Amino acid sequence: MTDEAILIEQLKNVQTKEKAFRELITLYKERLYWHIRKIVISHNDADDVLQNTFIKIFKNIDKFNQKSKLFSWMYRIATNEAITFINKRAKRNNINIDDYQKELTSTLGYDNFFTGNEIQLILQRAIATLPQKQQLVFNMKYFDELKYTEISEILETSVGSLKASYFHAVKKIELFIKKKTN
Amino acid sequence: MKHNIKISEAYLNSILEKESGFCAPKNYFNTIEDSFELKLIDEKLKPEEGFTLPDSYFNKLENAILAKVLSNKKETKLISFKERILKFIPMTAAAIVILFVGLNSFVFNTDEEFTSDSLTEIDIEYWLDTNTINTYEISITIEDVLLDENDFYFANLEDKTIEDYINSIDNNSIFEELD
Repeated sequence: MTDEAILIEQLKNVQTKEKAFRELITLYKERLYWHIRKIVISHNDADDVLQNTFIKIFKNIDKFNQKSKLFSWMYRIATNEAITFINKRAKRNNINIDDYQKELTSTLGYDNFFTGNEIQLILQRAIATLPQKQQLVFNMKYFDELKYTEISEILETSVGSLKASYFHAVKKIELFIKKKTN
Repeated sequence: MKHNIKISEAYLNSILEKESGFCAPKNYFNTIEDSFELKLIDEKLKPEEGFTLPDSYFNKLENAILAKVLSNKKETKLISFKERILKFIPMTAAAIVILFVGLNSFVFNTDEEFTSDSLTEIDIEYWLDTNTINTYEISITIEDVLLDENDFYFANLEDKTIEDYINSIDNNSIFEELD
């Protein structure tokens, strides 16, 4: 039995659930946080979404059918929670999701929890101009260094489509940065 | 395509060093487990937890509401605003006239005070000729008036005067009154 299988078993057992869950959070908190943070941009929002993600995982662990890896399943929940969150925010502000994301990155320079340089700021603005799927694929592939097969499991999309999305994303970002820096 | 990607990635790496620029507050990751446990307690205490819904409640809701709205729509008679205004004009006019007359009679004419002195003999005679007075009306009018002995002190009548008065009364008229 693998470590993951043991952990899942403990998570599904009422007696060991809470202790196992603490272990699960310790294992995945940082990876999930950074994944969420790159989608929602602000730290406070990322914190909210991360907690909601873990709550959802805790409540639905019994429904996890182990067809995919636990990590992929959790990543999928985190992605959905983050996207739902920004969609709601955009709706509340009465603007579309693209404009909302551009707005977020336009004020990023004043964010206390953004210490990036000018190029990193331009990069975030470049990412905000991409369609949502390309944003996700770029962040997961370039920053999180996930394999296409893993991203495919998380986003439930074919590897071929992911490769195309990543290609377009990288090209657009490169062009955007060159345009802004030259 | 693969070659192109490698060049672009190399360019990005050279300027970004794979850093996104985001950072988290100090010790944030050390407290996540505790924060999550608190959040979990909050979730468990949420009042909505105990409520349930009938199966497919929200799926049937639109149809149920639409059915009610449509049936109400059939029964509702549409009255135009203009029609309603025209209907109210004569009623409002009548109300204004009544109000004016009423106020004029009871409020505006308060200056003149009526006293028995202000009535002329002709007025009294005319009133007596045209109205019949019965004892019942008089008794109702003076029912609550208490007569006190002291009221007659001003008269200061002597016994002899009273005796003369009694003697002057026609006995027949007294008997007639008693009958």
